[in-house]
Amino acid sequence: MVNEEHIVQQAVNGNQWAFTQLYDIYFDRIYRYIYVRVKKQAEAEDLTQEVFIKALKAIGSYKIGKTPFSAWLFRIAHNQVIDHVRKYARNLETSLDDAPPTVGSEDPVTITEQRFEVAELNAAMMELPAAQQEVISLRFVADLPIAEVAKILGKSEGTVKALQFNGTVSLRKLLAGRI
Amino acid sequence: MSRQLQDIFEECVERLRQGDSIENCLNSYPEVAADLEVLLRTSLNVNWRASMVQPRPEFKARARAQFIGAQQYAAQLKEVRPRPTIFSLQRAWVPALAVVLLLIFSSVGTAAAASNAMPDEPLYPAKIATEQVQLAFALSNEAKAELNVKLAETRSQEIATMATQGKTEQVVATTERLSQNLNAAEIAIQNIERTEIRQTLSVPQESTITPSAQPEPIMPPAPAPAPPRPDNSEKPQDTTRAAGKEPGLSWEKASTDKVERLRQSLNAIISKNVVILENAKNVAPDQTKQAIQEAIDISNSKQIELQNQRPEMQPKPLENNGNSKGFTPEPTGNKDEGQRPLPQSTGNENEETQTPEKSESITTTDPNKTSTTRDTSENIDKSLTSTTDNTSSTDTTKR
Repeated sequence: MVNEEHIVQQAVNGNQWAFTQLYDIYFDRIYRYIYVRVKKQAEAEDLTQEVFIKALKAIGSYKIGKTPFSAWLFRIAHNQVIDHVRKYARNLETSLDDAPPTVGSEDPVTITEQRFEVAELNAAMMELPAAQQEVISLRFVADLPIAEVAKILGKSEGTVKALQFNGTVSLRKLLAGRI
Repeated sequence: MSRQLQDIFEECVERLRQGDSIENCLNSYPEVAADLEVLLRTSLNVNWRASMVQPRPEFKARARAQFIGAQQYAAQLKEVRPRPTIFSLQRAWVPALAVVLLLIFSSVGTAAAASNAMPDEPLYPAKIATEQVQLAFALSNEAKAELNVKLAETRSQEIATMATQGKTEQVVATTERLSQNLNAAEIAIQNIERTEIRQTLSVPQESTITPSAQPEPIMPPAPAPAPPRPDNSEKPQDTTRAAGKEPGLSWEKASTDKVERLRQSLNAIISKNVVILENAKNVAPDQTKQAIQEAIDISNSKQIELQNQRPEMQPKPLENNGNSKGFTPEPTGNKDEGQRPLPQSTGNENEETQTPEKSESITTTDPNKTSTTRDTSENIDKSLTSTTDNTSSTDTTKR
């Protein structure tokens, strides 16, 4: 199995196949992260594509070894989300109709239940302060290590740990009975 | 205790990421097992719920094809000229776009169908994706402005069609896209004007609006240099005076035919949009009337902004403007927040005035934050009655 660093190196050198591999590896995670942040399917789709177009345009300037590729890519996504929210700030309350396609079943009842779970998560996340939302999204949704989260957000690991802890405590209360 | 639990929680979260079990973690810390278990199960629950979110298969397939097409296009540009100028890229645009479209879609019929797709149709995402690539590779501000004007007209027609069919959700989503196109066109026109003004005043351009600017991808540990404050703008002012130019006259001179033509074009499209939307509103079902009215409001407010943006009313980059957020970032308490290191300048003009402080503090839950796309009628009234300075300040802040 080819390791990711090698693929990234090839992509930096202009290898299209390599970049497509990275695209395949990260596409779902980037989409998931963006969706949880913006909570709208159409916007999440647009932003996800923009992230990869920006990454394509900037891959030549990526410096291997300085920052993990995942942190670099999620930093693009993070900035896209921040810009989007800043420009189109509004009440982002969602309903089941806004829920994205979910996996696991074609049974309408199961799909509805899954959408309800996602909608509950969205609602709970919206109750958190912005900094906690960012950390929880990157840590538990994007599944990034704490060091990368700290780099993406430009915060110390200690700060991220505290935000993660407090955010989880709040989510526990908000999702009480559903965990 | 809380601090210790934080560290234990983090360690266990990392162990779970690596495949360890909750039970093993709890056995490692029996003294805090009860609290720890609740927290770990919460984190796993969040992860589980989020894992249900998946992109639509049809979107994923089209996006991938689109991305590969964009890669091909980018590679083609490099082959045509290793160090292309903006001028040469513009000339290479038309044939290259054709190649991209051919690569993206397996047949001309599909491409044609996508180009005519409406927001409620399966091919609409392909249409939007194609537009995004066009926008991503519209390198000059003039090309961006013209393309966004064209897309705004397309959005308007889509809104009208959806409105007459009573599809409120699509009307709302397309209205947001319309607003994005109008904003992007406006920003591009302003950038053209700024560039020309700088040339007129013989002031060097800011690197942040140069398409080729490539900031470092990830922030280094050192704090970022503070963006220039208004009161540090002595040097350019001196340059102006040294050149013996009266700033007001220079602004007049800098208003070229190109900018005027683009403004008029955008103005005409907006007027046309309003007519289309008004007509659609008259025949639309009641449930979509409000959404259409919102689109009309957006168009009207944009038109008013454009009318207010005569050259002498533009924010003057060489003057102190204490009201402009773009030039007065708040002092940040976070030493690492000084940079937005990724290469956003390649296509996003909004990078120009965004402060890192703002980025870190934005919340998705705050409906009170103003948006350029959500001007209320009160804002329109204000912009009609505002003074020149107020208009300039507002415009700068928005950007």
